[in-house]
Amino acid sequence: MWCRYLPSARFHCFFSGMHPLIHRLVVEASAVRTSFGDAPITRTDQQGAMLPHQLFATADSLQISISLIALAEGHARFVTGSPAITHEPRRGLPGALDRLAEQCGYALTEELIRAVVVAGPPLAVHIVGDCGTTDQAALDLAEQCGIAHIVAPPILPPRHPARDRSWFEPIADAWKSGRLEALLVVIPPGALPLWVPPLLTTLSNIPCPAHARLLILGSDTDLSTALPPGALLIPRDDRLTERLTDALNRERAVRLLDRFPVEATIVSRPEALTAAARAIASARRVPCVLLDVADGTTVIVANNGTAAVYHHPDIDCARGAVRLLNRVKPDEIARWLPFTLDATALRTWALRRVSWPMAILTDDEDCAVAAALARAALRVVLGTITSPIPEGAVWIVGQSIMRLGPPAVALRMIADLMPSVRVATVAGDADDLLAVVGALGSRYPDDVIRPLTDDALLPVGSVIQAVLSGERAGEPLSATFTHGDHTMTVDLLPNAIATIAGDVATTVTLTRNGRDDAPIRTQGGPGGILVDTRRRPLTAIPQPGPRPNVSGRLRPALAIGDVSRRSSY
Amino acid sequence: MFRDTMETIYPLGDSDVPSVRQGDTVAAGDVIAHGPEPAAIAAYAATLRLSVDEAADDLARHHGREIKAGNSLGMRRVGLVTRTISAPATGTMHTLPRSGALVIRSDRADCERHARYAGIVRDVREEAIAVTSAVARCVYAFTGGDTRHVGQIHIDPALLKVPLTTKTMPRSVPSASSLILAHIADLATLHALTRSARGTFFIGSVTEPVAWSLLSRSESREGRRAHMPGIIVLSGVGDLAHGVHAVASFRDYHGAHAILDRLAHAVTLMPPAGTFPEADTGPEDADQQSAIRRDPANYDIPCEIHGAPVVALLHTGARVLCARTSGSPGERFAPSQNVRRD
Repeated sequence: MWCRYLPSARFHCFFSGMHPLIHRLVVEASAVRTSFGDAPITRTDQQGAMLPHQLFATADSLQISISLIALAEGHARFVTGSPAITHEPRRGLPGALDRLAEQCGYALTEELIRAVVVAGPPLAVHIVGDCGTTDQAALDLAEQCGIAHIVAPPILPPRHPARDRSWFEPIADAWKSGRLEALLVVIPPGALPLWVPPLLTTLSNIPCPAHARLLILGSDTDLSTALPPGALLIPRDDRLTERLTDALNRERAVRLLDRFPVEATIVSRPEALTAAARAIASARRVPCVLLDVADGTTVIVANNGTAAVYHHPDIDCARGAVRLLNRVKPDEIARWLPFTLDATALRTWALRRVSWPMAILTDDEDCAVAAALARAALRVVLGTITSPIPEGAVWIVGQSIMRLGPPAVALRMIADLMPSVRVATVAGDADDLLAVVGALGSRYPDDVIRPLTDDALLPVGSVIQAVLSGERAGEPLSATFTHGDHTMTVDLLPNAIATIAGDVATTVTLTRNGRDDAPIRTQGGPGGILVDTRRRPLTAIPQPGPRPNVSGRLRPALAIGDVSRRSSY
Repeated sequence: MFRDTMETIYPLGDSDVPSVRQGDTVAAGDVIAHGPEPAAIAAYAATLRLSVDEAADDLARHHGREIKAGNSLGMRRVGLVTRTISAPATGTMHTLPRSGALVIRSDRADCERHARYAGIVRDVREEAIAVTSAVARCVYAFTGGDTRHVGQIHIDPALLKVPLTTKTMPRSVPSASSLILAHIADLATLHALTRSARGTFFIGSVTEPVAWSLLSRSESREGRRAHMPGIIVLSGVGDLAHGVHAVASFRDYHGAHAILDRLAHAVTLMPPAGTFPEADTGPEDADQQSAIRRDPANYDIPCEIHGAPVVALLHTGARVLCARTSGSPGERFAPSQNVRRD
């Protein structure tokens, strides 16, 4: 991650101890220091000024990174972040803080961490007791956000527990030997059932093993006085969902970070991304679809102030590659590759990737295979969405996708995945800041817009689907691109992809058989504008064909590079 | 494998009294606090078939009273049956009015709290004691089977340098122990191991067919039904040399207690007190280190790393911390995350 506030300072701030930006922030901070809402964290830095800055940690089983968000010109802005380099989990936090301090020129301590975004496998939760509707809804949400994996089926006490205590002996044995990650005892509302006292008494007499957590879900807050030391009571009240997810998230964060401030907000990565997607949808007043394949596969659809999360923690294109191959036929992955790769080679690739998932892909073929796996994983998750994706949505691709190649790859991936949507504006999160901004929003909702729009999101381009099917399949189709006084018309070939390079907003008019469709406003970007005329369902990657006819000239206005039929993966 | 510390928090009850001070050294099993027996709960309302409201008056009467274990707390006739409830412990009664229950707390601090792991007491507070233990950690690549219980590490030096075969199958592994193996090359050995052996196995490396079988069987219903022993592959797919390298650092940890953290993908080793091996003096400060590339396209290709890491712009557009490498194909700078130092 790099300094976004002043793009020209990206390298400078890394290599020099103290960038002028930091000096500016120090000065501004002393003048404007209350816009973060809470009492600001203040400390004396090397220059003696008071700096209200916030650190946000992101942690998964592969790496830990820290982002610094501070006031700049009265607004919260992302300043810089530590490169995530560790694959030694516990060393990560001090290492990341050291690297951040190298960039800032002064020491930053873990006490300054305001929020932690936790990714990685969900916590395996064994349940004892019968969950009511409200409890189940809270657990479902925790499972949906990748926080918990409910080990089914729940252990239900017998009808006459007073006569039979053997039912919980396996639980006690597993608890004693440290085989349980988290044990959730669900106590129904009303009179304390007969099975609870002997179970809690037994668990009280077993020392709590490392890496295990006893959670009690109950209606009576007084019950906390009777619980074994270390057990946590989650009261069944209006904030049950929040309390449950926080408790489980906190347990995951402890595993990955060891130490962090007690008052820090802990959110899972899907939760943070959801907050970010909701903020984007709210700020731009358009629906937002967010795609991510880091530590599981996530699709978030935000619209009208609500957001739906579709998260599959087991499959992705790194640690979950083998699980994905076990779910999806090799052909379903190989179809997205621009070269031949048989099932054995795909298996070899997946096993190598799983063996060392923290590797950053640099080889073109590696990126292509990972992109194919990402498509397959996203299609699995998109296939679970029952409600239609709203038209006119902005599609956001996470860093995990942006790193698979140049922006055109992300654009092409959206074209391959787009359901029956006509136009998609695509933006990317190249520095993996959306989760950080989402975490920022969970504490300071008023301060997310500037970091979100100015720091996290980069325009990628637009995708237009112009599919002709049935009787109209043979109709001639052309697209007219207009920017100001300049126009350019491209004859589109059926069942093909045309990419028009351009990084400014353009109006596109599709002409079918001599009749103009309604004009479409598109946003350009480094990936350009991709017009997709392939028939659905997609079958194979189209082979390069003849160059389409182009009339007109947009180069002076749009800096258009070329009109091409790229077959980038 | 790298040296690290692990913090264990021992929560204390209201009446617990710490018997250690900050800076004290404790061994596993040492007494760190004294306190009363854990509070006993009596489900008053449920036992007497009363609603919470009906039990409220009775519970209010009991609040604050002393009671001896076995003494009657109340009785009620329900139909033809007389239901009684007696005190499960001796102590002072406190009520849980919303649960219709009683909590009985002993005032005598005659119960000992023991340290689970050896270490140094970092902090003593009213609510908890924190003990910091010196541990060794290593990340693992993937697992198969039931790895929920790892237990103590068992080292057979003969198995640290040769691949496991059906002829060299371990026969006498202590129960609840984890055996360290260098390498498994063929499926027959894996099947023999999963059929005959119990416990958990740390394996340095495995070949591709073995890795695939292991991961696929773990996923499959048959694998779950068959109660596969736990297998933790440290280095992932590789040859014998990789496996030997991966398990070499385990040599000095015979008898160490191991904890598998699935979330952090790491194994934590807690050596028996006093036997922590000497720190490795690896070639970290050397100008030139031999390493192995681990990105899929250049997997297992040896290279050499020169000097300190630098930030470089890759052709994919990513700016990452890179190592200057020689002897490997591709870019002159390889992301530091892509190389494994020998």
